[in-house]
Amino acid sequence: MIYRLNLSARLSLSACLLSAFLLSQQTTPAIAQAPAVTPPVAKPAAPRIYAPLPAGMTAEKILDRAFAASGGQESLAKTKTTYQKGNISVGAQGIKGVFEVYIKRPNKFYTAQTFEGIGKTEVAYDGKIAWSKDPINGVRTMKDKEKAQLQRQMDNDANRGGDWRKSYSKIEALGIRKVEGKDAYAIRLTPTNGKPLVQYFDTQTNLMVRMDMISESPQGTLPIESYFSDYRTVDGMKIPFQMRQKVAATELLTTVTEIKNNLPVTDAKFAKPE
Amino acid sequence: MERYQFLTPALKRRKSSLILIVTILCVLAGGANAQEPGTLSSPLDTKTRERIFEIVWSRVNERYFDPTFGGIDWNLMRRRYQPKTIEAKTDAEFYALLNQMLSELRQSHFGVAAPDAIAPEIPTSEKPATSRPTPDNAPASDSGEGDRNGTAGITVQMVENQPTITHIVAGGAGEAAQLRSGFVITAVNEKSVTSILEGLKKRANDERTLPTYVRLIFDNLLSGPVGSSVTIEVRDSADKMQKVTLARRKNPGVITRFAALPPFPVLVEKRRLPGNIGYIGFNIFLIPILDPVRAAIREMRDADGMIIDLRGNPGGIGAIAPAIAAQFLSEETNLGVMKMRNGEIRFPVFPVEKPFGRPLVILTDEGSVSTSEILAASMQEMGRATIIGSRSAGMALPSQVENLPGGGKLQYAFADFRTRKGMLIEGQGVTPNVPVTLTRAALLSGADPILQTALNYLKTKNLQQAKKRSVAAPQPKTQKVSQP
Repeated sequence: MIYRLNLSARLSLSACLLSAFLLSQQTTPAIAQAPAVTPPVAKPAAPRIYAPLPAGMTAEKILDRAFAASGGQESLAKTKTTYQKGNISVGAQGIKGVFEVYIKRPNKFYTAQTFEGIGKTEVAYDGKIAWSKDPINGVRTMKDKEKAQLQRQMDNDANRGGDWRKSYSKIEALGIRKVEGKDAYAIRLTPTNGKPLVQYFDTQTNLMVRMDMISESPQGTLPIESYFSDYRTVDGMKIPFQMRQKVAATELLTTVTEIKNNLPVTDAKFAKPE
Repeated sequence: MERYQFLTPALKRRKSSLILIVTILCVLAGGANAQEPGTLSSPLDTKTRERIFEIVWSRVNERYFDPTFGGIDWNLMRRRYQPKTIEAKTDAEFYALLNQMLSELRQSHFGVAAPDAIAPEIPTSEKPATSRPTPDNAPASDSGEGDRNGTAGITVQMVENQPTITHIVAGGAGEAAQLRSGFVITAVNEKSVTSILEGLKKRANDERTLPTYVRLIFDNLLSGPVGSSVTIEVRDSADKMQKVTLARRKNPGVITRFAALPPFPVLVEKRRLPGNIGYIGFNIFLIPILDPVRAAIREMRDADGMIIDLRGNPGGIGAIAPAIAAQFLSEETNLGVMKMRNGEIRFPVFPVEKPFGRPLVILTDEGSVSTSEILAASMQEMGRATIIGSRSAGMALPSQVENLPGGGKLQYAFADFRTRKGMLIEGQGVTPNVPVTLTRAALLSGADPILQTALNYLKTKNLQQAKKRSVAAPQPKTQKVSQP
């Protein structure tokens, strides 16, 4: 679906941002006086209150509208590759960086971020192998749920159009909820292999304005809230030029500065390094 | 001995003060300080104070890993401290009150550093030096006026309850002044050690962490702009008093900047010690140390044992601990887990292809903090490393540092850390397998007792293993020799 197409770069970026977040956590002491209190194990978010949907509105309809609002199948079919670049800043910690994303449809992507003081972190999927490379762990093949999550992100890309059943066993409309002060439809999507995620679509524009997901990686599971804004039209598709993400105690801001579609991109870009 | 950069343990330890900005501020606010209250550069207006207070209080309120705040009523803290901070007569008092509020949590990694307690901007470079600079021949200061990167070239630790020089940097100001390990410091810039320690005791509020703070405060007092001087009074080996003025020399290392932390020099040392033992020391857990450390381990793969020296290492990026551990472990595992209010993150280890398999010793002392403790505790727990030295600081909460309006910095813990088996490091530290207590007599003799103990340990261990191997090995078949 195109709403996913537009976001696929952001989704793949999330994995990379997560790595950057993990790399950025520092431990420098202030004053130690007593043992820490054992915190409770993280629990799922408390149930939220949603306003009811208008009569006749279903999850499928909401997703179809979002697909159309984002540009629809026609725009999608014309887009064989996408290149994006932009800037990232990590909260008030003063960590700044740049990113670039390459997507080659139907199933390849590559994301890289370079942060001052951390270096370059890459995450990619060549259609078969998902891998990452960062200054700490070097080159690593991503497996199991971590890989499935990346595959799903790419599979969700608009190659499949509105065929959400390829990746999700269930979708359900949760209702209407305020996101950044505006009403948004909330849809929960349950993957065939992985944790459910919730997407929010502006009731007026039908564009995705928020997504809550649980990132799964060898580091564990981590909730990520993503907020999308500054939609602009590029080659007939609505693209969010800004994404704000809340990851644990950190807030990351991603700003797109350039998007180019249908540039020639060789498969080597996505291949796992030796 | 080959070094990626010039480094001695003393220098490694000294630079910890640059990163422990919040700690230093807390200590300085306690009165053991060369910086007098009311000397901050630009006074804060009421609105800025309100904004700063709001950020500090809210960060803890929203992100402190313990939603019960350890039994503290955090809303009450707001009501109690907010008016006081706004009415504070000086900015120094304002920042001191913020720290007082944070100290109510009784945890490490919480603090606010005033702008004047933070080192000035220094141009950065991520490329490790390939030459071996010394304090004298190191490149000229790249920070210019106001550089706080000068060192007196000595390390001071509590030995037999007295602040004592434990290391002299070769080529440093201390050596030039003929100071020696084992000399006892009695005053710094005319301020008696007794008064410094009294102020520190009030602030540290915990006997166990006092040695860590003693080390930090002396690091700070002995640091300053290159070329500036500090006068110290010492009791020498004959117990005679000496007054010595030290002109601070540039602290070598690659100046590195990371996030909101002050810039600091990154240093890595490797050498091969007697008995074919590899030695690797590094002064902080930041990205630039990784390649030199990995290369050093590769290069000394044939060593009969390895020593990783984390004495005086204040920590850094937590994720570097598993990367170092990966050099010594053969199976995928994790070092432990940090738990936040809304999730948890493990420290997974992805072993390298050919990890170092011989005995490993990690050296710790009261200056081993945070990520140092995470690495040491985890490797000890897995039985992969033997810890030798003294107990670590017990300050191991994952934290973030944020810039504040007005130029200050806020540090707050957003998670706690437990090893894989659930050991909590915070407030406890890592207890060495082989504890070594420094004595003045040993230091005066010129020894490094902790390093020497590690060498002796590895020698004994290797002998034991060799014996086991020889016993386990199949005996050669006896050849029948025909009798003449």
